[in-house]
Parts: sequence; C-alpha cells; structure tokens
Amino acid sequence: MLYPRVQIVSVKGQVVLPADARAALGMTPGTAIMVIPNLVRKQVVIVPLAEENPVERGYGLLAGKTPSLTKQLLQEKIREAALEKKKYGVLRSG
Amino acid sequence: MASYVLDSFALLAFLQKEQGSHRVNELLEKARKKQTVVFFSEVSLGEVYYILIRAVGLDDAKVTLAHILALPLTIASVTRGDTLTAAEYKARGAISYADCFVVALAGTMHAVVVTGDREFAAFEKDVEVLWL
Repeated sequence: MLYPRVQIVSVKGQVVLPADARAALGMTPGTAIMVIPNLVRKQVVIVPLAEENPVERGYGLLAGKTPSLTKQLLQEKIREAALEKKKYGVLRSG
Repeated sequence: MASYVLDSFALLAFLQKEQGSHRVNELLEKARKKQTVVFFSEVSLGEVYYILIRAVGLDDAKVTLAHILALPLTIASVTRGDTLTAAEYKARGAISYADCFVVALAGTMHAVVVTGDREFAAFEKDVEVLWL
C-alpha cells in the first residue's frame, strides 16, 4: 500500500521520489517524467513516461475522447473570418 | 532530405487518428529516426493549446501538451522575417493569421506544409502542400 509522503525540496530544487513509489510506477534512473504545474490547485503533478515511443504514445491519444478537434479548429477559423469580415470588410476565400 | 511543417489541423488529426493522419504518423516516425525534420510553429502550438483547453479543460490540455512536446517535432520560434512574411500573406486576406506563420516557416525552411485544411490551397503557388 502506497501512502502520501512529505518530502522537502533541496536548495537545488531537487526532491526525492520515494523508492516504493518509484518501484510501483516503474521509474528507474533515466526515466523521463512530465512535470505539470497547476497554479489554481497549487500542485505539481509528476507523470512518468514509459520508455515507449512518443510517436506511438501520441498517435490517437485523444481518439474518441472528445468531438473532432479538427472540426473545432475549422469552426473557429470560420468564426474568426466572419468577425474579420464584419470588422474590416475582408473576405477570406478559404 | 525533405523537411515538413505541420499545421494545427495535421497535429490535431494525429492526436485523434483521423482520416489521413497516418501520413503525419509516418513523418513523425521518420523524424524520430532522424530521417527527416518536422517543424511546428510556436504560433500553431498556441493554437492547438487553446483548442485543447476548450475541448478537454486546462488540466487535461496541459497533459496533452506535455505529450506533444515529447514528440520529435522541431518547435520553431517566430522570427522577425517570418512575422513580416506572414503579415504579407495575411494582407491577401485568404487565410487565418496562425496559418500565415505556417506558410512563412515552410518558405524559410524550404519545407512542405502538411495539412488537411483547404484554406492552404490558396498558397500552393508559394509552398508545396502535402494533403492529408
């Protein structure tokens, strides 16, 4: 059973990740981690990255998790173009 | 060695394995093996980030951003030259401002634009486009 632990940040900004947590998450020397600061929650989340291929990991990462992002992007561009046209009278052909 | 510039559409398609995104996957695999260079503009990075924030919220968008930054992309900072070139493209009035930076970057790097966004069709005389 893993429990929360209090660790102290060193003068160099380093902090020790407890051995049991490292072992449980498969973290070994050289393991890459993502450091995600969250100012609202005043947290820093550390996510170990498995030594897998980052391209494989990213391909389809958000598939099925949200409506089409490319459609949202194109809709945003249409909105922007409409605003431009209204404001400046510039018509985007795309 | 040919190099490429992804636009936001291409990267978002890759993240959701949408139609045509296998080409992006192939290019990133080549980039990982140092067989090509795949550029991504800082401006596009911002564009993708705000689309992600709206779609999945700030926290999950940050996690996805970390995954994006781990990809074998060469993130290109905006230069004065590209800014002015982008402005000249924007003055034509047929493309979003963010995409102007994609075209400008592709011109500077002599790279191929990778996209599925038809907006780039107006710039095929300026840069080569690989359609998804």
